[in-house]
Order: sequence, then C-alpha cells, then structure tokens
Amino acid sequence: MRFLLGFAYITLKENVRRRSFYGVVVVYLLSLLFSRMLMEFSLQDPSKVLADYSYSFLSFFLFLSTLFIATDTMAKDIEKKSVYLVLSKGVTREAYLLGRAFGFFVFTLSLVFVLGLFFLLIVWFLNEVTVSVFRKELHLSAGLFVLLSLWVKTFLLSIVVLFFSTFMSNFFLVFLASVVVLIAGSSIENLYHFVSVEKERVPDLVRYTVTFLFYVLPSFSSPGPDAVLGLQKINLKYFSLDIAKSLAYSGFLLSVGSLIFRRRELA
Amino acid sequence: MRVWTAGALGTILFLSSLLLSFFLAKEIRGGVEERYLLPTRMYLLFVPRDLSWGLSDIGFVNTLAFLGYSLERGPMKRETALKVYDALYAVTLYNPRYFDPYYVGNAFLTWETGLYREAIDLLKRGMRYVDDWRIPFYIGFNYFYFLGDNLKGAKYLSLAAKHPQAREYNLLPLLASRLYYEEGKLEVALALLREQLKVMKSESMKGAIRVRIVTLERAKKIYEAMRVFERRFGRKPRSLEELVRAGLVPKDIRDGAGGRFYITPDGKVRSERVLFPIRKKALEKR
Repeated sequence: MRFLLGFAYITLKENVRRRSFYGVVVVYLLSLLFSRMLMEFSLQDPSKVLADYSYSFLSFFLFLSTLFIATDTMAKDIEKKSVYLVLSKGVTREAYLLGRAFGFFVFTLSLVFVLGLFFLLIVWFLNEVTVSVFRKELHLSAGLFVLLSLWVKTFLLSIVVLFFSTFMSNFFLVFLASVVVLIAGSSIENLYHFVSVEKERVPDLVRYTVTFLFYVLPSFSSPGPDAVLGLQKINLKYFSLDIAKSLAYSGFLLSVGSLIFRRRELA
Repeated sequence: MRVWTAGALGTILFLSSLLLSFFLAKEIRGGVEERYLLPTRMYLLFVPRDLSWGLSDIGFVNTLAFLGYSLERGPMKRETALKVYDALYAVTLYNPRYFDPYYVGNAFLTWETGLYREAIDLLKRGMRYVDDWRIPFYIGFNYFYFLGDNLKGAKYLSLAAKHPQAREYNLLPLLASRLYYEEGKLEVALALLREQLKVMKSESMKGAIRVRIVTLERAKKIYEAMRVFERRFGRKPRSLEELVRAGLVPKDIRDGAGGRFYITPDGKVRSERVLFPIRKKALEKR
C-alpha cells in the first residue's frame, strides 16, 4: 500500500508540475468564456446551450489531456530508462504497472476535480445571472455523479494508454491506438442505440457488428449536461452498471497488460 | 542576409495567405449550401457522445444561419424545407432536451413552409423530453388552426393548460374548452374548466373561466331542451323562442357575459358574447 501511495504521489507530482497541466486549465477557462459567448445564439434556452458547450469542452479537455499526459509519462519511463531504476529496487513489473495505474487514478481525480469544479461554478454562476424565465434549476448532486462518471472514464482511458504502452514502444502509435479506442468507445453507444431502434432498416451484418463492438469496447460516454440541469434524471441502475463495466474493463486491461509487460524485452 | 531573405519570404507568404482568405471569404458569402450548414443524422451518429451536446448546438446554429440566408432570398422550396426538417430532427435526436429546435421548427415549418405534419412530428418528440407547456400548446394550435382538427387540438391544448407552468393562463383552457364545444364534447369542456378553476390562483383569470362555465352549463340545458322538444314534437326546434314557448327553457336565458343565445340552422347553440362562431383562417394549400 505504501508503495502504491508513493507511486501515486510521484505520478501526481510529476504531472502537476507540467506546464501543460496549467495550460489545460487556462485553455478550459477560455473555452468557458467562449461558451458564454455562444449562449447568445440561443433563442429560448441559453442555460442549456451554456451547459452543452461547457460540458463538451470539459469532456474534450479531460480526454485529450489524459491521452497526452498518460502517453508521455509512459513513453518517458521507457525511453529515458527510468523504468529500470524502479525495477532495480526490487519492484516487480506487475507492481510497477499497478503503481502507475494507481498514480493515474489519483491524477485523473485531480484533473476532473479542478476542471469539473470550474465547470459547475461557471454554469451555476451564468445560469443565475441569466433572465429568470430562461433560468434552470441546477442539480449539484447530479453534477457530482456526472463528474464521478467522467473521472472513471478518464481513468479508463489512462489504463488504455498503459495497456498499449506495455507492447508498443512508439509514442505516436500508442497515442493513435488510444485515440481510435476513445473515438470508437465514445460513439458506440449512439450507434448501438441507432441499430436497436432502427432494427428493420439496418442490415443484419451491421447490427451484429455494432452489437459485438458495444459488448467488447469500453464505453466513454457519461450522463451529460442534462442531468446537471435537472432535465434528465440519472438512471442509477444504468449508471452503476456503466461504472462497474468501466472499472472491470480497466482491471481486465491491467491484467492482460501485466502479462504482456512481464514478457516484454525492455533493453 | 539569409535571415532577411527568409523573413521577407515568410512575410510575403503570410500576406498571400491573408489575400487568399479574403477571396475564400467572398466565395463563402456568395453561396449558401445545405451541405455546409445543415447537420444530418449520420453526421451526428459518429460524433462521440459527450461532444455531440455541443456539436448538435452548433448544428442548430448552422440551421438557423441557413434559414436566415435562404428566407432572405425568397420562399423556400418544399424539398429544401424538408432538409431543414431533417436537420432539426437530427439535432433533437442527439440533444432531445434542447428547446430551441422545437421552437424554431414550429415557427418555420408551419407559417413559412406549410409542413404541418412534420412540425407536429417534431413537437411530439419534444413532448417526450421537454417539460414545457408551450410544446403541447404548439401541437394543439397546429391541429386546430392549420389542420382543422378541433378534437386533437383541444386534447393538446388541455394538456398545455394542465401544465403547472401554464395554470395561470386562462387562454389555454378557454380555447381548449371552445374546441371541445365545437366538436360536441360539452361534458369534457366543462370538466376541463372546473378542474382549471380548482388549480388557478389569480381571481382575475378565474373570472373568464367562470363566465365560460356558466355559458356552457346553459348551452347544455338548451341542448337537453332541444332533445326533449324533438321527442315531443317530432321535429327539431327552429329557434330558441320555440323552446321558450314550449316552456323548456326560461325566457331570460343569457350567456355568462349577458349575451343572448340563438340556434343556428345547422342546430348549433351559439351566443352573442361567448359562443360566437370561430372565424378560421382559410387553410393554406400545402
């Protein structure tokens, strides 16, 4: 446990020290100002537009920064041979991977906490100052559920990066493969919904392929801004199943990754 | 010297790119193309779920821009209007709780292009997701005003009237009850008004409802008297005076606002101040 905490501390420290971490926060704040500007395009529903844009930016920045930072961390560990230093201290390769995963667990939490806090604060503030007839009731508890979901998803993404890093040595390839999984995992819910609703219009082959992918791919969708605005109730059953699947998927990738990493030639 | 050459070349290239952007901007302003502006269902289908919130909003803004440009250039063709309907449908498919597409869809598809059924389809989707009294109100209005379907119109207007946000607007129950009356559903009209009277708080708004209830109750009495008259004399009464002479209704029967009742040649009970005939706009050809 001490080892895990130590690793988490190091991962958090090395990533929080990066300028890119602060860059992400600043750019996200700027994008929130942009969301405020986009509110003006709404005719009757400015709060919804604000929440939609802010949420899409939040999700985009969370996933993008996790992708970059996790890929870079793993690439540096292997390229700069710092992994040897850890392994030479008697730490097994499985423990090293687990430590890194725990580190990402804490790091993604801090990332979601900082950006999510800004998201909730800005949406709350701008919703409060908007004209009363257009104002929506903000549901903070639902907002926390949404952030919890985003945290688990960003953690899952970091594990996807970790998994690819166990057998790919090229930084760009790891990044590309993770982006493909992220896009596929983010779109699969829409596609699955589409083929389920339009059963008659979709060819069987497409339907079976999409269903297969829905089962085997990790899901990167989260409840969305409607829950924060109280327009949609969070389906607790679906939410729990989704979180459980993401955690189980992370565990699966870590197990397979550690098996691969054990046999990997690092020299 | 090399630095100066590279600098000069860079500046020239940058200025040329600005010039090219200027010509590109002129080209974009010159033509409005659906393929650039209108989102489709397939386009949004492959967008990551979390990004589709913001992107569907952008799709809606693009649709608005397209509408603005197109309407400035005259009436829109039916095929183009159907593409706008598809675009609004796509936006609401991925962001169904966003009110604006329903609002614009209702205004544009009905008044501008006559796509009443499509507008109602879109609004019915909205009713499933958006908790706003205006959506059933728009549906009811479209049924009654554009499609001439009073019964369906009344059904949706009643739903709008019962919405907690619309309880204080007496126009909705008044219009709904009127449409029910036109379709001979007097009991339904009365039940709706009595229900509204219980939940409304504003005394000034309640006044008009009370007037309508009194009028409908008296109209109901006249209809009952007409049935008795028919059984007794084997024919329909030609005027209210015949009912008065037969002693079936009191001589001084008036509507809630003091207007006199009368019977039309087609056997409908009307009154001077409350139950006067609805003057409907001629249905526009689609």
